Amino acid sequence: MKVMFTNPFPRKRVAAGALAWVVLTCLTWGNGQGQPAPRPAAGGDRPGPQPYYTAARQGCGRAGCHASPPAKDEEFVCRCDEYARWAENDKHADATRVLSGPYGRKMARVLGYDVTRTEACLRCHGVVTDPAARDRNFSAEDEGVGCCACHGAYKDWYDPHGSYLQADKWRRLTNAEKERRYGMTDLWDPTRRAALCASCHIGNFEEGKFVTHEMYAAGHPPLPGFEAATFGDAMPRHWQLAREKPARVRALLGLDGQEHEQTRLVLVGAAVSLRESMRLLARQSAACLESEDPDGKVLDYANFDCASCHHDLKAPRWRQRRGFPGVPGQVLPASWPVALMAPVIERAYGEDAARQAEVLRRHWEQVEAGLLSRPYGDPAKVGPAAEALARWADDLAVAVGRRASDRPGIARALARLPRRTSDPAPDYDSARQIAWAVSVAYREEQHLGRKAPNPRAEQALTSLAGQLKLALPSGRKTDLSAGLADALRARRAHDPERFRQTLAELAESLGDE
Amino acid sequence: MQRTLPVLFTLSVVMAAVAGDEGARPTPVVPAGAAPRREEGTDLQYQGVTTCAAAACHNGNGPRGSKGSEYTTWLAHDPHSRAYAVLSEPRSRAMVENYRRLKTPQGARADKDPLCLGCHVQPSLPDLRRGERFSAADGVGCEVCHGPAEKWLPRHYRNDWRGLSQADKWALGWADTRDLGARAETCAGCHVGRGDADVNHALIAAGHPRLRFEYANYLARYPRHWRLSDERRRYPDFEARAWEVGQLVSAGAALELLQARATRPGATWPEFAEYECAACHHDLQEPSERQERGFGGRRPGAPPWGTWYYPLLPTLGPARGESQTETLAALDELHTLMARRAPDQARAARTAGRAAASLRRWLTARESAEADARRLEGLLSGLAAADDLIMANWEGAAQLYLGLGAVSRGLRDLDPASGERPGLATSLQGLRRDLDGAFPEGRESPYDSPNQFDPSALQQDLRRVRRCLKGVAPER
Repeated sequence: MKVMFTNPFPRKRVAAGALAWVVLTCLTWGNGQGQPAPRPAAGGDRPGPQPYYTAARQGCGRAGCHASPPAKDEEFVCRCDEYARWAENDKHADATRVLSGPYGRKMARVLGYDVTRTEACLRCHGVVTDPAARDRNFSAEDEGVGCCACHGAYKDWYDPHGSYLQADKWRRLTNAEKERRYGMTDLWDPTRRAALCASCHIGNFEEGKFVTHEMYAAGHPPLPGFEAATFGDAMPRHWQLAREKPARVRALLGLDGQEHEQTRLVLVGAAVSLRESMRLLARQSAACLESEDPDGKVLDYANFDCASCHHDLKAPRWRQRRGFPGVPGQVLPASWPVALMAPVIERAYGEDAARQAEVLRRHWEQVEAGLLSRPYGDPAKVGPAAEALARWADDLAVAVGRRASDRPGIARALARLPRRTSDPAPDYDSARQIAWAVSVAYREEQHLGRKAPNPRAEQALTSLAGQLKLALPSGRKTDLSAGLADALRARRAHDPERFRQTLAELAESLGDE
Repeated sequence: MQRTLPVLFTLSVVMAAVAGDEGARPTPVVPAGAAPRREEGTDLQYQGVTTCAAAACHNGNGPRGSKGSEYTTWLAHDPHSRAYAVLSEPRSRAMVENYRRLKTPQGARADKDPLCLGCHVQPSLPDLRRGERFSAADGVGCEVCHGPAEKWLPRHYRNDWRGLSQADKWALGWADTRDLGARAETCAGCHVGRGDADVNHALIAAGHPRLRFEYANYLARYPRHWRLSDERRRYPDFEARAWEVGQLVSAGAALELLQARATRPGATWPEFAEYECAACHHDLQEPSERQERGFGGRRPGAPPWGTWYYPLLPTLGPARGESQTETLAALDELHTLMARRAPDQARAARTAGRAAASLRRWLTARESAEADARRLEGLLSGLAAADDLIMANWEGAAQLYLGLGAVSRGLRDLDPASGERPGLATSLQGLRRDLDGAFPEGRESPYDSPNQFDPSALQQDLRRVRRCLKGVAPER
C-alpha cells in the first residue's frame, strides 16, 4: 500500500494491499450529509468526491497499511505506522471516549444533557456523520478524532493513494488536485493544516465546532492559545518532517530537507489562528444579531479572554499596572492571536511591513472598541470589525505562506518580540505563543545549521518551559485532571515581568552567535 | 506572614465581649416610628467640624467615647476623619488614573474628583452652602450625619433645646441619629452607595474596594462617640434590632442603587457590581469545587445576583405582612431576571423600584415593633437552619455568620436568663475561622478573593451552632 523503493514487491505486503484494494473498492458509495462539501471537480470530468467515513482501525490501521513500521531496509513515502502511533499515543484516539469517562460524566451532570450524544460535543470529539455515509465497522462511540477527521472523509482517495497499480497516476497529481478531485485533505499546505486543527482548537462556527461558556463552567478545560507546530509535535506527530524522510523519498516528493518547515508552520499558523479567531467572533456576532432570544443577542462569554474575569483578586496586581484599554473592568478579548504578528508581517510583507502593521493595529482597535463598547461587546460593531480583520489575516496567511521559509535569525527576532509590541505585560497565552515560537525556531536553526547547543539559550528556554509549562500533555497515558491542574497552576503563577526578563536573556544569548 | 483578618470581622469578637453588660434593664422604650429622612439637597449652610471642637463642647480630650469628647474621639479614632486624606494617597491617585483613563498620573486627583468627594467628604459637595470654617479636608465630619448646623448650632446647647420636638429639630436641620433606621439610611447612602455615588464595577476594577455593608457589624466596629448603654436603654434588643433594621435598610438602598444603575442614560449594563465578585473572579482550579457544587438552578457559568444584600431577607421571620411577601416575590423575580446574560433593563428598574417600596413599608412595620425575645429565638433558629446559604457562596455564609452573632447577642441582652447559650460563642468563632480560612495564606488586602471557600467545613460549623441552640433551634 505504499510506494516503496527497495524490494518493491514483498509477497505479504502485496497480498495485503490487494485485499485492501478489493475491500475498499467493494464498499458501497455513501451519500453523506452534514459533511463539509468538497469543491466540485474541475472541468466536470467526474463528480466531486462524496463524504464517506472509514473506521480508522479497519480502514487505515490494517496490517500492511499504516499499522506497523517497515523493515529497516525498506523505504516508503510514509512511515507505515501512522495508525499505530495514533492509536497507541495520540489523545485524539480517545477524544470520543473521554465523553463517557469521569470528566464527561461530570460535565453531563452539570449541563443536564448527554454529552456522548450531543452533536455540539461530538463535532470535535469524534465525527458526526450520516449512518449511510460510513462503513459498517465505524463506531461513533469509539472512533475518536480518527484518520478521516483530518485526512478527508472521502472514499475516493483510499484506493488510489495506496494502490501499486495507480501509484504513478496518483504521484503525478498535485496535493491540491488530490484534495479537489479525491477529497484527500492537503495537509502538506501549512495554511490548510493549521486551519483544520484550529477548527476544533479555536473553533469553527459554520462547522458547529465551538466551546461555549456553559461548557467551560461545567468543566470543559479552557482551550489554550493554539500554536500549530507545537501542538502538532505534541500529538505526537505520526508523520515525518521533510528533513526526517529518506533522501529518495524527498526527491520523489519534491521536498527540501533544508527548509525551515516548522518555523514556517509557526508563522503561517499564527496568521491562520488570527484569521480563525476573528472568523469565529464575526460569525458569533452575526448570530447574535439574528437571535430572537434576548440572551442570544449578547456574545457568549467564551468569546473573551478567560483570564479577563477569571483571576483571583489581588492588589496591587499587574493587571492594574498594565492599565485598561476601555472602561476599567470590561471583559477583554483574548490577545494571544496577535502576539506573533510583528515577525509574521515582516516575513510576509518585507518593505511594506510597517504599513501593514499599522493596518493591523487599526483593525485590532476596531475589534477591541466593539468588544469594549459595552459589557460583552456590541455584536453590530464587533462582527464587521472581526470580519475585516479575518480577511486581512487571510491575505497575511497567503503572503507569509509564500515567503516564510529559511532566513536565519528568526529565533532571535522572535525572542526580541515583546520589546517591540505595545503590550507591556504579555498575558499567559501571549507569552506562551512567543515562547513556543522561539523554541521551535531555535531548535530548527540549531538542527539545520548543525550547530552545537548554545548553553545560555538552552538555559533560558528551559526556564521559559518551566515558567509557562510549555510542554503540552502529550500521549494517551497522561492524566487529564492532573495535567489540567498543572496547567491552571502555571496560568495562575504567570509573572509577565519574569517572562520578559528570561526572554531578554534568550535574545541576548542568541545575539552572541 | 501575619494573617490579616477580613475587614468585616475585625471587631465582631470584641463586640461579643463588650456586649456582656448585664445590668438591670429599664422598661423597653419603643421608638414612636421611623424618624424623617432627609432628601438630597438642603439650603442650610454647613459650618464645619471646628465649630464643634471647642474644649468645653465636644473636644474635651477625655477617654475615647466619653461624653464631651465626641469630636476628640472622632478625630483620634474614627476613620471618617481621614476620609479626605486618603484621597491623596498613591493608591487613590492610581484609582482615578485608571477610572478616568488618564494618560499620565499627573492629572489624577482623587481629592478633586466629584465622584470621590461625594462620599469621602459630603454628598452634593459642589453645591453645598459652606460656612467660613468648613473645610473639605476634614473628611466625613459631624454634619454629614448630624445635619447642617447653621440653625441648630447656636441652639442645641441651650436649655430649651430638650423641649423641642423631633420635628422642630428636623426643621432646624438637625438629624436624629439616635433613630436606628434613620441612622442606617445615612450610613447606607455611602456604604451601600447611591446613583450619584456609585462604587460600580469600573471603580472597583480601577482599585476601589468592593462595598459590603452590614450595619450591625459596622456599628459594633465603629469607634463610638456615644454610649452603648444609652443605645441599649433605647433599644433593649439593640444588636438584634440594628441587624434586622440594617438588613432592610441596606437591601432597600441596594435596590434603589440597582434602579439608578438600570435607568441612568448610557450606563454600563448589566452592572457587574450587582453580582458576586468571586463568581467570576476566581483562578481556574482543577478539581473545581464550583463544578461539584453546581449552579443552583442557574445556567452553568451564569453569575449569581445580589449575594450580599438579599440572602437573609427570607429568614427574617415567616412572611406575615403583605410588604414582606411582596418584597420577597419581587426579589425572586429579580434573581431570575438578573441571572440572564442580557437582563431586561427597564424591567429590572421597575422590579427593583417595586421591591424597594415594599421594603420601606416592611421597615416601618419592623421599626415600630416591640422588642420580643420569642421572636428573636425564632429568628435565630431560622438562621441556624439556613444550610442553603452556607452552600451557596462565601457572601451568603458571611452574612449568616454576622446575623447569628448579632441576633444571639441581642437576645442575650434582652433576656439574660434564657438568652445565654453555652458554647455558642465558641461555635460561632469556628464558623468565622472557616470563613476566614477561605482567604489565601498571606492575605494582604480586602481585595483578595475567598478562593478556598469550603462549604462542607462551614456546614459542620453550622451544625455545631444548631447543637448549641438545642431547644431553640430544631435540627433540620
